[in-house]
Amino acid sequence: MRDVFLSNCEKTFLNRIVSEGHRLDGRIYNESRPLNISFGSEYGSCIVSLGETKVLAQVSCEVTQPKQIRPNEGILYINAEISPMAAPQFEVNRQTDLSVYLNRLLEKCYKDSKCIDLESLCIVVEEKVWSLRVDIKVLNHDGNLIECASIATLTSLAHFKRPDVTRSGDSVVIHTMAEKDPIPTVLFHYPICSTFAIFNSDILLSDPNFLEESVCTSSTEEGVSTGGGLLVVGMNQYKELCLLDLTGAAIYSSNIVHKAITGAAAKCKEIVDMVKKAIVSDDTLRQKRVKINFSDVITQDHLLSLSKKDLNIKLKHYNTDEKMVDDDEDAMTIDSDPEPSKYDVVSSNPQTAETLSRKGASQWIEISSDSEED
Amino acid sequence: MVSENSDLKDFKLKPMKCECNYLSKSDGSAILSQGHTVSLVSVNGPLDVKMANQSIEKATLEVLFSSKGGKPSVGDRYKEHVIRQTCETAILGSLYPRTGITVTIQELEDQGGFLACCINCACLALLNAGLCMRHTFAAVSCAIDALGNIQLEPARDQLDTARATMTFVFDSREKSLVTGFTEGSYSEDAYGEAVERCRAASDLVFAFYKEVVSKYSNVIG
Repeated sequence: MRDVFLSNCEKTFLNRIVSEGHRLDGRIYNESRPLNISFGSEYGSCIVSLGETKVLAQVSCEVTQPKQIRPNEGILYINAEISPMAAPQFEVNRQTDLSVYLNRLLEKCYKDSKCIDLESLCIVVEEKVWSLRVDIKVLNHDGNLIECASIATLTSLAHFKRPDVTRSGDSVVIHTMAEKDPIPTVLFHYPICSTFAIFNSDILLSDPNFLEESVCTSSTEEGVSTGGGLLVVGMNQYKELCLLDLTGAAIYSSNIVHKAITGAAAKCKEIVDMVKKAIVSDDTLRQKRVKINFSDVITQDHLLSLSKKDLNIKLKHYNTDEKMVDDDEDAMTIDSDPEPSKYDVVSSNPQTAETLSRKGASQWIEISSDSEED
Repeated sequence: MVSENSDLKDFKLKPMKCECNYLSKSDGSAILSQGHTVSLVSVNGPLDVKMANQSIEKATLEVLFSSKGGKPSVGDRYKEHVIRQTCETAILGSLYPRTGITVTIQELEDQGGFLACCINCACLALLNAGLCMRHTFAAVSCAIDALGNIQLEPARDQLDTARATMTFVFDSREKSLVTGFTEGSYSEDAYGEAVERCRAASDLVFAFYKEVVSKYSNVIG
């Protein structure tokens, strides 16, 4: 199937509300969608979901011959795949620009930053080393794939344990999980990629969803660049920069990069803490012999999503919660409600797009029958 | 005969759990767990396909199976083929000419009876996508152990010691056999008995489909 096209109304509407300080789903600029990590029964398999974006990661290992130039180092291989499951526009067994880009970024973030102790993966120098393979499968693509995939990669690598090995003379014995406790992977630091969408070359949105991502990288109807783009910042928990990548329009002020880096630093620390906590709690559960399985991800959250609207728009100023009413109370008393006329648009359902964006009485003038006679 | 009949009724399948619409971008999707085996299926379609793949009298069905880790293997292609043929008999493709339907299957956990889980999950996803079907279909797996006993829904360790493993798919209208997938050696009688046992067990799966679908839509009949 061909790519999904963006309508001009979507583009202009999104650009306008972003410049006015809002986002479609009611988040503030530097707010991320909820992150959820669940583990499978094997070591090194996890599903990470960031809002509706879902990624499956699986680490597997095998013994291979090391590379000639690095005889005492293990091998890390990262493979990311985007199947038609992610979204209908992706085709079977065909590499898209996005999947190549995703692969390259993950390699940069995890291989080039040297976060894994590859020397510890060596069994016999120049002969046998462990080769770790990370398979990333995108299950649902709802924007910010890079951040979600990088969290999945890191979590599965940190969660993974390889079988223990003993050397006696020339022979190498690989023990099963039942014989000897498996060994966890050594990670020097925990890098995470976070994505920022740039709007009008000065607004940064963290964790953009699919619509925001596609709007900020596209140009306007006249073909003029909007000065938008996607900035990926890779950072570890020590707030050290590991990766920086920009797609879209060029940035002409360094301030925005600084702003993104400070934003990413706090966020990465938070995410890494969450990943570590998830792994520790999973480990204690496993030690108590609790069976952990992907069937735990099955809930009834999405049961009625067919009857819901595809695009949820949340307007913060039209919240009907009691809390909001309290805030608005002073404002209400000052400008006493004008007499409602019959032409006023009344919202039928709170928190949907149907609610009007302009307050006050209708500007429509009622032409009485007398004036007609005049 | 009487003992055999009671035998047919006295069984239970492993607990099944299902969530529809797990994926927001697909037209229909379902995640199903049968015991500790879990699979995830997304269905997209009818959608436009390349001219070369178009067929003027029916929809082109494409099934993609993706294992959890590692490279795609011949075994995966084989599973794809079995599932595609099963789905093709069920979907009323003639209603959607010159279009394509894509079924993508993702392995999440394989603890025995994986093919049956994939087929059941695919059926639920097709129902969720709202595609017109001749009938629904339910798969039940069984194993014949060294003593010749038939074990429904075998676990991983039972599969390792089994003499033969079988997976049967039945349709919902006449409970007739749609697909049979067997491995290993067995006698003709054992095969016949296994088919009957699985046929009886498929009722439970159909009842489960009804339970799942009735949660979000009106069910007739």
